[in-house]
Amino acid sequence: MLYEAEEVLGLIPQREPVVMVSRLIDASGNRCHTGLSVTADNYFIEDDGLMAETGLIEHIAQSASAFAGHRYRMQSLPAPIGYIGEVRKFHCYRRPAIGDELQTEIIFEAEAEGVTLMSATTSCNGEAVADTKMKIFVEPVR
Amino acid sequence: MTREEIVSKVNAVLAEEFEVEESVISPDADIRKTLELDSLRLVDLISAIQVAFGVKVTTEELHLLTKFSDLYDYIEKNL
Amino acid sequence: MLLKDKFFSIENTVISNDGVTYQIRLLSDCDCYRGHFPGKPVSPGVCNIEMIRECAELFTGKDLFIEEIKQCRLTAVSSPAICPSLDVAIKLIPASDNTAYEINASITDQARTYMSLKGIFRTKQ
Repeated sequence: MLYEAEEVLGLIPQREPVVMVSRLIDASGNRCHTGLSVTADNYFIEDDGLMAETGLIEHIAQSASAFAGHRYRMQSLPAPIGYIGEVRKFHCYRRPAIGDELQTEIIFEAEAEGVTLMSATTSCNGEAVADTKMKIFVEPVR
Repeated sequence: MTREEIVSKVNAVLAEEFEVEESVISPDADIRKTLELDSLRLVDLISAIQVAFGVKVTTEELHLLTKFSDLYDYIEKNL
Repeated sequence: MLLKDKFFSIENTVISNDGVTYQIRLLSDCDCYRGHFPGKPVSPGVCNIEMIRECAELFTGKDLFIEEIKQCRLTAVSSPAICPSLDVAIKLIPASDNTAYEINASITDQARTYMSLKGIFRTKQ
């Protein structure tokens, strides 16, 4: 485990109530794994007790943000702010429930002119929950 | 891989990625206009070439490529 | 709904023959801005997507599940300060078995387009 709970906040610019990543499990090369513990107070939990699909997209975006933050930290730079530029081929297979432990694999595929293309797969106990391709703009903090 | 194979693979990959008809991709056509490349889509081109050919084009190099024939040349040289 | 009357409120509804446009107001006191980002309130892109879903639910009168987003482009940063009033335009094509909709949506104001989205929203069981 690289970063857990409070420590992960050092890697991302988001703060409560919209923090959607609980830990950065490992990172090497262009790949990392993150986790999210789905709790009752999660911002994206709907009236039926399940998380909105958009919460998964935010979790994936913040996972990439944590990965980028980790890479910046390795170079002693502060965590950058990332904006979602595009979501493509997003599929949601089921909505997460309170108590679920989500695990996400992020792969940074390519980078050009400040735009990073990545792919992500989110699963829970080995079962696919969502997958997508996403582009993020990474804006270094000045 | 022969030149013909490169050309046909590039055209097929880009037609799928950018959702254009393969017939609009010709050696003399302008890459940016044909694929409607903007700052967000540039990275898709780089990734598609990397996945299909294992060739990594940098942004700087990409700016020197105007027509599809330039792209075929580049891939042929760097395969 | 997660965001209606918290992140946005509806000011006006214009129904067209293939869909609807909701004129909405972004609410600056939404709690998401406490964390996105501290001291720099920017509307989360996913909240804009969620707003499209909630508008589509209001229009169809059904609970909708975002099964697929073919493509969603976020072309400009939005916030209650930058764009307090927005048009959320949604075109819906019902699938043949009537259990899903093909969605084409955009979020715009006079100045620019903030988001465009193509996807499949399925009726929840």
